Amino acid sequence: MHITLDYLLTAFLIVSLLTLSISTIYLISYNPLYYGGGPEIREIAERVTDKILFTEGAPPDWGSNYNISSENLTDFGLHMRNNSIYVLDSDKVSRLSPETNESLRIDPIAVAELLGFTEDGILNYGFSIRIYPFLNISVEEQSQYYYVITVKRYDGFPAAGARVKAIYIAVLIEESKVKNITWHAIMLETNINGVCYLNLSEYISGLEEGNYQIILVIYADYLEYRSAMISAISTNETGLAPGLQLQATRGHFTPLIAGEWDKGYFISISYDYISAVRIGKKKGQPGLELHEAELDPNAQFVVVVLTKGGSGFVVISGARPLCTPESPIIFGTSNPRGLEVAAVTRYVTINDLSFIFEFYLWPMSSS
Amino acid sequence: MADELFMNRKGISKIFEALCSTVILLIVISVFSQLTAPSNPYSFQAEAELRKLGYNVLQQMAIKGGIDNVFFNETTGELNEDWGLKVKIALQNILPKGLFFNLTVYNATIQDDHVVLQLLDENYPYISNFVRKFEESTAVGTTYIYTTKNIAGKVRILVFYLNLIRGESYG
Repeated sequence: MHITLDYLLTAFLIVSLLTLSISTIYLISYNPLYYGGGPEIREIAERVTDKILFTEGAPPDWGSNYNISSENLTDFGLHMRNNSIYVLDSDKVSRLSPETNESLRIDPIAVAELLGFTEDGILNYGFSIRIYPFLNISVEEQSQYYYVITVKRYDGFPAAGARVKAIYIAVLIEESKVKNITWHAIMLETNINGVCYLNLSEYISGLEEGNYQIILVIYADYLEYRSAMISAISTNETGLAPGLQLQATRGHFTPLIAGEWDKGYFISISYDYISAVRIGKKKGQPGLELHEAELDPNAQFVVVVLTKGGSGFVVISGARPLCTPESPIIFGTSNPRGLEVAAVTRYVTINDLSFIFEFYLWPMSSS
Repeated sequence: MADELFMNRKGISKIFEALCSTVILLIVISVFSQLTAPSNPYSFQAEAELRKLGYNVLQQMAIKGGIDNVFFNETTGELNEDWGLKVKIALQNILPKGLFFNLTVYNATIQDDHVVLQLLDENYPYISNFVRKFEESTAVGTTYIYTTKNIAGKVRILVFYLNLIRGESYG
């Protein structure tokens, strides 16, 4: 055989072996769940996880008290006051989210210091927290008022036999007037593929004729392990209307409604309860007013219907923390790295919904 | 000519050697990968971790009223006939893939100053996703005691005994 072929074959073998080795090392480094660290690092990870989940931090209201920042946070914990273990405070969790305003976001390095992962300002351990919903729910509109609901577990497996509660809110706005707001809940169950079908035509046909905006709120659960999503499939306008802000603090949605709106409705939605409050103008004041006392403190979703001039807006706001299995809340010093990564997984409740909480810990020296 | 033939043979034998070595290396790497990368993320988790997981699962079920809602009829307070099936489906979906479970639920009552545990439902002596008999020595058990809310004038104390076992233990 020609010597060139020899060299070619040798080079091929070397490249193949190198590629295989690199891919194996990569797998070890980036799949800490599979290779979860030694006993010592695992024990530290478990203790720190318990500390984060079972303690409130200091001051205990650091989630909703916006005067508390990374500088004056003296202890880190996510537990919700006066609640069972594994129940987390949505305000605290939200302050870890990348979606949160940067001025309110807690600095991971400050948390590393509070958890004792630094020595003389140098990181000894890296950590990462990931939070995402237990179930991933998606809705697809197949035809008018006919929807396909797909429910998957956090790991992508179809959620077969899950109990689904579909709540539709139908809003009819005509000539800048809210002519009708109605809602109804329908119970369904997913098939073996984690799919169920929602046909609203029979419900909508019984309503006053018009072009309804449909807002769907879907809850899916197994024995109260519950996840939820809101979808404004048929609305003209989604997202925040001009001049409107919704601020969620202390479990409440506080509307800061500015702008020249004529009238509005504020609908708060939780699993067992839906309430609508009409909001109007206060004399001599611009904008609309809504007292916090009128809000459902347990609301997971908020729908605001506003009218102004010749147009109407439907605004939705989702349950906090806002995250999905595809885009979890990730908070930490960096992504897990190295050969000694310990991972701890727990089921937690936030805002009456179920989430997966993952904590990763690794020594910096081995990275 | 003879030299050329000899060199050719030597070259082929070298390539054959290299191929054999590669195959051996690949087999070793794949076997090693199988040994170090089990099919589920909980394989390397210690006994304590499984115990905590079991408690975590039952506690989350209990705090949100899942046990009351699924086990008992809200109006009559009687045990629902399909509670076992619902719990089985739920646990299958809640627990990570690759974990086997065996759940036994007892009703605790006090008789002559003694706490007596009786099976909650003779139709469901245990709820499991495992076809073979659980070997207690390899399973990790979690006990969870739950007092139901007052349902139709009845309050019960339930004792849950959840055994968890990793898939690899029965490989």
